[in-house]
Amino acid sequence: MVGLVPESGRRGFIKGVMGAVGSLIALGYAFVAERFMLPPPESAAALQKVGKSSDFPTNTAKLVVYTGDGGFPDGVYIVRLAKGLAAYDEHCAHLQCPVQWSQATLTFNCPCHGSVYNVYGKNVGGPAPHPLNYHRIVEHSGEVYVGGIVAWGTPEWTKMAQAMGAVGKFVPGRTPGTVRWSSKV
Amino acid sequence: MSQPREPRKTQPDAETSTEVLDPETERSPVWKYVNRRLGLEKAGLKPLVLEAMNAPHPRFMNPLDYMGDILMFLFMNQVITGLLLMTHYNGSAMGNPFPAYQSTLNMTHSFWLAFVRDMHFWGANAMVVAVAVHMARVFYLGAYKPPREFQWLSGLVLLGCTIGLALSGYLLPWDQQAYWATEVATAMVKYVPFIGHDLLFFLRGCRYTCGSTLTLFFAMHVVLLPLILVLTIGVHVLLVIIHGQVDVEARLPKGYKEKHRLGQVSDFPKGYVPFWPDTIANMTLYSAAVAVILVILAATIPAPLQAMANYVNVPPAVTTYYRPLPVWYFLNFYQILKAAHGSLEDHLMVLGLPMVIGAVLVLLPFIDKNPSHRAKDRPIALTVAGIFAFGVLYTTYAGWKSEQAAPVLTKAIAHPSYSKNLLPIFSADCAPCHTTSPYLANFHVTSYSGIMRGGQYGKSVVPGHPNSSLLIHLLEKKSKKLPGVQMPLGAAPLSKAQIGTIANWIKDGAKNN
Repeated sequence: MVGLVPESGRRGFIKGVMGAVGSLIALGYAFVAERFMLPPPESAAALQKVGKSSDFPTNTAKLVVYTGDGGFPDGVYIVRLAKGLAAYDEHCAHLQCPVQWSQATLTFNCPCHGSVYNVYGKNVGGPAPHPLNYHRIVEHSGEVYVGGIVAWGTPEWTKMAQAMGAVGKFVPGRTPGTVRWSSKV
Repeated sequence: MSQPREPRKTQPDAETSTEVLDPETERSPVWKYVNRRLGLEKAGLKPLVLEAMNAPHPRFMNPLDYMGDILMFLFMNQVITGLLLMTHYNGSAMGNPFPAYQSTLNMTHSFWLAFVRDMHFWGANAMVVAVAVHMARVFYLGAYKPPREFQWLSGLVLLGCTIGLALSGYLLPWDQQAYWATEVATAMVKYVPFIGHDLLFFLRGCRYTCGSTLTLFFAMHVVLLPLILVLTIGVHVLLVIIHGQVDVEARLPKGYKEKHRLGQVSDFPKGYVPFWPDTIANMTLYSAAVAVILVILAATIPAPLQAMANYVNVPPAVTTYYRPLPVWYFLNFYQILKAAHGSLEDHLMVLGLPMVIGAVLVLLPFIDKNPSHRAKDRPIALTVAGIFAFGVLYTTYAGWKSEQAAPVLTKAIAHPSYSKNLLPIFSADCAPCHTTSPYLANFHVTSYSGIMRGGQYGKSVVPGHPNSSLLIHLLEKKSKKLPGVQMPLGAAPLSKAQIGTIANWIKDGAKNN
């Protein structure tokens, strides 16, 4: 008993117990708070049918509405690239205004502070610090399904970017409507 | 604290009563009642109260010195109108139409409901202006210098609460403007290093602004922030009572305060009046003037309410996108953000600039060691502040200017001037993309040299020949270089009169006139 309590005697013991129990309660709350605040991975949200494969022709972006698990609708741009369909979250990577597709220049333009993204969702102008977020997208027997958000910076995002060929440095094309990625990184 | 005073004839026993009461106050039944219940005398607060009430103030003071009192009045206006609004507001974003929007819309249908909402709206705008003027005045007087550092710091807390209240109140109508302005303003939180993204989630309750955000902001707007504000106002005002106002103190004759701590009106220097009731009467007059202005504004210019919030921002029946714009007092920051390009500049602006301004404001009383309160002894402080104020005003103006629609033309001007007739069109309809920073087609549209130089697709203007100028081709959707493209992209084309005016200017030789 004495070894456990630095301050000998009954008073010291009570103080020690008080401190230990108090710390335990605080730790318990901290643990629960941490678990509570930690959201489930967003990309795991349920898939939703947003249209048919034929609704999404090459080199054009179409805005569809995806309602996440929270019940709130979110705008998602679907683009058919050479390597398949890609889904971009409509919120600008800068301050999250909704970006607008411009068919003439094949870019997504942000109306707020002038950020520009190319057809791969890569930031090519304005203050945007990084590319657009993605959504999971699945094309299955002629139907297109969109899933939860895949935030930029996560390993899953990088994998998706590589899969759609959106790696390397962006080089603006000579004629409008063409974009290409240089092989050099 | 208390110093021995000269014994007065009426009170020979100076040892037992060191503080001389104002006989009028002593007789007042209110004083007797309050003093007994609150124990002001027991707690030793009697001299403080009396000193504050009987303090000598100049009969005429700079109107700017009443800004604090005006702010107090404005805050009371916000509390009264806000409590009334709460009885008709339903802060929910579940259902169609959203109750938050519908209940706000309903207020616009009745004169008195709309009037109260307009008073709240104009009161909020007036508070932002008054806070800025109050801060500038306090800075000019050096009223943050020792021993008033805590006055300055508590003032900064009040500033933060005012901005927080403005921001949280902005979301409550749940219209397009409210929704997207909040989306952009809160998104800045994600720039905080390491915890930014988690912090943003915490602030919104979702990844993007949603119903939880509304609930949280409502709670902040009506409970948390007013509570902090009221408590801090108490500290702020108490400190003013304890330390006095800088320019009042400075103008009193030397040694007056030490000699007459509990000033008697008969001892006042010439041209001085007691705080109660004279100065309070002035405050009331100023408050009444502000109230009249508020009533006139509220009765003539209604608080705006746009279409209901649309999270996806493309209503099925509407083909144009909604373009969010900041509230007028953030036009300065908006203009600065538009000029930032790339990650580094962007981080410097969104994260660096507010942090530097915040740090300077907090540390100001400790950095500025110059003890003088006189303007001519403080050239550096006032110059730096002057440059800052000019920057704020100029960027606000530039931000406002960048959003002005070009004047409507009924027919093409035969001999237009570049600066008078063309620049407004370019600034309004082309500059949102082709600004001074070369990010769209490397085309600088707001300078004469930029227009003449052209951009990525070559020269835009061939002087004398509008029909071979790319600029005209693009405006009329006739370009062979860029087939199918009509400028401005994603917006309504320019009117025939506007395009004609530009063509006439090119025909005249595209001069810098």
